[in-house]
Amino acid sequence: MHQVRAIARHSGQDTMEIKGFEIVKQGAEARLFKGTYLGRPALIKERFVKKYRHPDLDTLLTKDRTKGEARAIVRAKAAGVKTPALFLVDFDRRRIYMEYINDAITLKDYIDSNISDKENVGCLISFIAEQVGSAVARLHSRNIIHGDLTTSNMLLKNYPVSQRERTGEKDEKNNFEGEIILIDFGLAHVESTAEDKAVDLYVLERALLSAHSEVPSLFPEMLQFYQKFCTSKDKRDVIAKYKEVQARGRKRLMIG
Amino acid sequence: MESCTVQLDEDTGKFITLYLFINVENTEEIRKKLISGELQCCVMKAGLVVDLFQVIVAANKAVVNEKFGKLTTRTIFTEILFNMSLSKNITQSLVKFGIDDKEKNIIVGIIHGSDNTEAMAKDSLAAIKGERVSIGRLKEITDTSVVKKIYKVDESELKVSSLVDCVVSKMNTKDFASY
Repeated sequence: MHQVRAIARHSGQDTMEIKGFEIVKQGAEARLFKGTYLGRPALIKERFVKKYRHPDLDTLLTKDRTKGEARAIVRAKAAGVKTPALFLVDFDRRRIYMEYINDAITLKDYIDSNISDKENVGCLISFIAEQVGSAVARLHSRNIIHGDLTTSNMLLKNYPVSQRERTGEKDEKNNFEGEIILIDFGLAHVESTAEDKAVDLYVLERALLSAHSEVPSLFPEMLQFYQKFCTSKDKRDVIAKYKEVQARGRKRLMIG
Repeated sequence: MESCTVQLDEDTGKFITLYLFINVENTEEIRKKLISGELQCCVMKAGLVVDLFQVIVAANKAVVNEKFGKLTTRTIFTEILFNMSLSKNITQSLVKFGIDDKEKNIIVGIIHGSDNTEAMAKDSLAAIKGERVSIGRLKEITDTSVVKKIYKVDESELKVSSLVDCVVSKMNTKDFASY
């Protein structure tokens, strides 16, 4: 009886609409809705039911992933990396309610429109490299692995759009520090091994390579800043491992 | 006097209205009435509230949990205090955020439906002997250094987000993260 009810609830639960919210994105695991919650601009990430899974397993996986994501967002914040504030974590409706970041663009769009195929953009590249390198370094210094470091998962706010702005007076407004915001911690986990950090860097390198192949200096510069800002003891190991991973790919060799 | 009303989660149909009182003289009496259930509202130390949003998030989590039958404490009002705390210990949470007999500055929160605010608020507000002031004066009362200590917020965190955002994010993950 209990099980029948569970299954019935399971199959009829797919939300396509949330009152007062509009759908902004649909991924493989969740839908994103934008609206207002508790008087603030908000984003809802709802992990939808996967019908091919056993309902119990589906509930469990969703709950664990929701937990993991929320936990990582808060940990990253404590590590000094800007992330959205959490308004509600709701296991019953499979949702995370979080702050909607206004006036921001993805790093991908920023690079595409301000750096790719442009001249004299060395300073902007350095700016981006420093922002990303130091953010990833701060995460890794606290053993947080993002798991999906791509330029689409980084938002940029108060960004410089030209060379002049970047080199201009560094007053309060022109201080760009901390203006990169990391999002989508859906694949994040806490792991202290050099291998995991190296793979995280490698994922970033591959993402840059495929999305921004016209800016080849981006990743090497990021890596420089990463090394500069990373405070964890295993920094050398991570770099050594990274070279190893780069040579063999993300997957480990399994012999025996 | 100015109060603040916010709609909580749409699915619960609930609202919260918040009032700020200073120089309250009868906290001991208020506390007794709260415990006996005579007063149907939530009363907390104003000094530990950095922004009303902190209370709103705690109250929202309480009404959502109530809707799904998942309250941890006995009433929705104690649940708000419990949600504000990072501790999983109910008594400790209520002692920390609830009022004690010495408290002078308090925030009163009333949970209601879309219409009946005034009627619900009247009894509770009448029981408080103190000066009702504008909610905007909360910032004069908040003890920021104590809030930072309670929520274990350090300076590196404040460089990238506001204190209230750090606080609510931690409150929301207390059930499955340790601080």
